[in-house]
Amino acid sequence: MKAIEFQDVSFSYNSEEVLSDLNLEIGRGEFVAILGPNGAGKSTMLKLTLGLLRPKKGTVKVLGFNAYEERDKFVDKVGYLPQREDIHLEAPLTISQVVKLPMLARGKKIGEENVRKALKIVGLENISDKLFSELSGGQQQKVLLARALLSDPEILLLDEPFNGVDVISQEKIVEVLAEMSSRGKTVVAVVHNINPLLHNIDRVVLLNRRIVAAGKPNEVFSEENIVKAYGTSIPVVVCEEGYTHPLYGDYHG
Amino acid sequence: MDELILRALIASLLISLNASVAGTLTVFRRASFLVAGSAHSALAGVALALFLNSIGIDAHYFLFALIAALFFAFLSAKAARRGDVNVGIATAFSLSMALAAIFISLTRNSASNAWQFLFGDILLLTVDDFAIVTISTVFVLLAVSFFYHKFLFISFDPSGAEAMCLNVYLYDFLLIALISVSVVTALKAVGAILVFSIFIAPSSTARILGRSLSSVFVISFILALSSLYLGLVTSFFFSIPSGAVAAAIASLVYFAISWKK
Ligand SMILES: Nc1ncnc2c1ncn2[C@@H]1O[C@H](COP(=O)(O)OP(=O)(O)OP(=O)(O)O)[C@@H](O)[C@H]1O
Ligand SMILES: [Mg+2]
Repeated sequence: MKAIEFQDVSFSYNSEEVLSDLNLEIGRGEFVAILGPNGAGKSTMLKLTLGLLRPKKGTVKVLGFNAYEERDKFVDKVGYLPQREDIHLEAPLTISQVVKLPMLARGKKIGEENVRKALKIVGLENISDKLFSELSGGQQQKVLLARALLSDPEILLLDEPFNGVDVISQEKIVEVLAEMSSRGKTVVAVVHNINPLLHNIDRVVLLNRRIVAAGKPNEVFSEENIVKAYGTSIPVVVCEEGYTHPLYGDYHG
Repeated sequence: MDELILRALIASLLISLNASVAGTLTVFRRASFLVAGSAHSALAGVALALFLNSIGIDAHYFLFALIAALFFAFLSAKAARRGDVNVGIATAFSLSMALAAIFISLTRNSASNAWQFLFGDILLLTVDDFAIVTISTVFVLLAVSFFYHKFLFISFDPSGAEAMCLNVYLYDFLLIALISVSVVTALKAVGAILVFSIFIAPSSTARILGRSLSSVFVISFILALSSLYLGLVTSFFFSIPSGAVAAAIASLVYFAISWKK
């Protein structure tokens, strides 16, 4: 059984189709990056996977379950890191409160030990009483990652985990994700800059309303595919380990 | 001590609890305009009740205010679902003010009655009013403590909450409904126009000052209560409306603090 399957999936919020005819299988333990310009439908693809949106056509399956109709069957096995713009900082929550909140909201007990463990993975165990709103962007992102890790999920979905994150924190996050993937967890990360992940991922999906290309990074980053996805060509270099790096700093916004 | 004064002192305490809990959750959910909206639609309900009373039909103001405010909550939650919260709230707001004006103008000898609901008078609470305030305060506190973490999670991270299978729409509606109950509870004592300052100003001030969830609740409670008590004292010595003084103090404290920060 695949971890995630898109079968002929199309989706539109209103009349205009945002995603068309997606076909994609992500195996268990795969580490996949989704890449594409603003408005390509990357976040929408994650939301379809979470079962938050109903496909207009086709089926999305997660661990064999219909994502939209049976999402309560797999929700505990999926960790999700939302795009940070969706987080509101009005309430003065501490780091450990942020990590615990999803569990508390669902009426589940959590051991302090698990919270400490999750925070240790991202290297923030010593400041768990600090206010989330007073952290840097990168630290906030790591807290949200710890929160997604708390229930030791089978599948990890991340929406722009590097947004506003410095290089050191980026490396830490990549290290955690690679660790997860080596333990057989499925990791899907939406990113604007593939380079921090390039050496660790199994596959990259180039998305622009449809799947332009999917496969090993070296196969995907051809001139032709990049122009199809971004509408303009982007120089690539091959590093000494033989990976094709697109040379761009495509930041969000 | 005069019974009316004693009642006013205890009612202030209960209303401050409402203001702290409902106000703070409103501020966390970034929906402070909701309080003004539900207060004004409650006023339309009150005006209808007063009108019905004037033509000899029995109608309790609290019930009508509650129904009007809940209806407003329902409209706002629906509007929030589609993403145009402000338009929805503002339109429902002016609709209810229009209705209130129409009912008040239809009601004979309405001026003084309507005045109390506009600006409130905590020194005029009847035993009935007092019982209503007590019961609904207990109800609101119990309900909020039951759903507390859900409300917090949805305020912090609505998409994460949705991803976790929480029914965000349902809990948003519940939150708005509880806020409406709280607002209606304070309506006769504080007044539809001033309720905003007693609910939102102390909580917003507390959010600036507080460095933990509990401190925000405690600070907003203390601010609301001291404003109400100072209002009472002032009205006792100078015979000016206590609600207006309390609202002015709460608002000025907010401006002073947000200015400094
Ligand atoms: N709730 C919504 N209602 C209507 N249209 C939407 C909604 N969310 C997204 N869209 C539209 O769908 C398209 C895809 O949006 P999506 O957020 O999936 O893009 P994305 O690839 O994640 O972009 P970004 O890189 O900016 O995060 C965009 O054109 C966007 O305007
Ligand atoms: Mg996105």
